[in-house]
Parts: sequence; structure tokens; C-alpha cells
Amino acid sequence: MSGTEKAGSGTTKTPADFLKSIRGRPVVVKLNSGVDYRGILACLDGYMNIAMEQTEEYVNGQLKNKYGDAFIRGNNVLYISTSKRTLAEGA
Amino acid sequence: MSGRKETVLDLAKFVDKGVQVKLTGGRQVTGTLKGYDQLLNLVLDEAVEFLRDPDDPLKTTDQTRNLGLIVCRGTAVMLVSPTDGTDEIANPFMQPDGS
Repeated sequence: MSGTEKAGSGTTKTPADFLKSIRGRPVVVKLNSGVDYRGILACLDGYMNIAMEQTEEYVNGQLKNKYGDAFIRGNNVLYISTSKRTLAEGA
Repeated sequence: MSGRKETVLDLAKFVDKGVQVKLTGGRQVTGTLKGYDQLLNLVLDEAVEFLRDPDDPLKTTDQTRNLGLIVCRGTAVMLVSPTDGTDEIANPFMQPDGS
């Protein structure tokens, strides 16, 4: 991904800044199929391909599977969410 | 194109190891990863497909289908995970009172 210009101190955040900031954090990833994956975000690229650790798979809120490592192909991703409201804190 | 674009996960680590793959539409396959490319086309050997419940495509049953040497088309790949390090959990589909 292309480098980003540093805007004023934390006053503005681009999606690229958000994506950088969530590495190493617990996240929820929702796929187009509606399945949720919860785990630690290890790595992320410009296609939104995702590598996760300690991954749990939830279908309709029920835990279905656990994966020590998981790789998700980016085209399937509907959204990525962190539990903490970091953007709101920055606002 | 100058330089090979790095992927988030180096699948070379999983070559000749067991992986499980979920595909769009609900199919699920495990096998030994033999090869891959940038588009995430995968070559799996001794592949086993876990057949789905006819009533619910998101459920898999204990039934399997041996497929042998297969190519998984990259555009259909949703998730890749090593089988080593996968935890077995209690069967979430089992009804408590039996079905």
C-alpha cells in the first residue's frame, strides 16, 4: 500500500491509517456469506487479504470452529471491526 | 512488474502440510498443500471433501468424499487454515436430546 502523508497530529484518519492501527488487535471480520471470524489480526494487505491468529468462527452467533491460524482471501470480506471505538476516541 | 508482491501469509510455510480450505458456497476440503500461486489457486493432494447437510449448506456432516489430487480455484477460496493447531470442539450441531 502506498505511504500516507502524516496529517495533523491525530486529527484526521484515513482508512489506511485505520488498517495500520488494527494490526495485532482483536478484530471481528464479517464475510459476504454472513459468517464472522474473531481473532487477533496478524497481517493485512491492500486486497484486504487477512491473516489471523486464535481465530474463532461464528455462524448466526454460534461458535462453530477454532483455527490456530487462518488466512482469509480479501474478496470475501464485508467488513473488519475492532471492539474498541478508537475512531470515536480520536474525534 | 518489478519485484514479486508479498502476500500477507506465506503459503510456502504450509507446502507439504495439511490445510483445510473453505470455499464460497460452503464447500470445505482438507488435504496436503502441494502448490499455490499469487491468485491463491491451490493444489491439494489426498483431498477429502466434507459433505454438507442437505438441509443447511453451512453445516457439514461426518460424511466425506475422497477427491485425490485437486486444484482449488483461487477466486472461490474464502479461508485457508493449517490442520495442525486446529482445535476440535464439541459438535455444535448435535442436539442435546438426540435428533
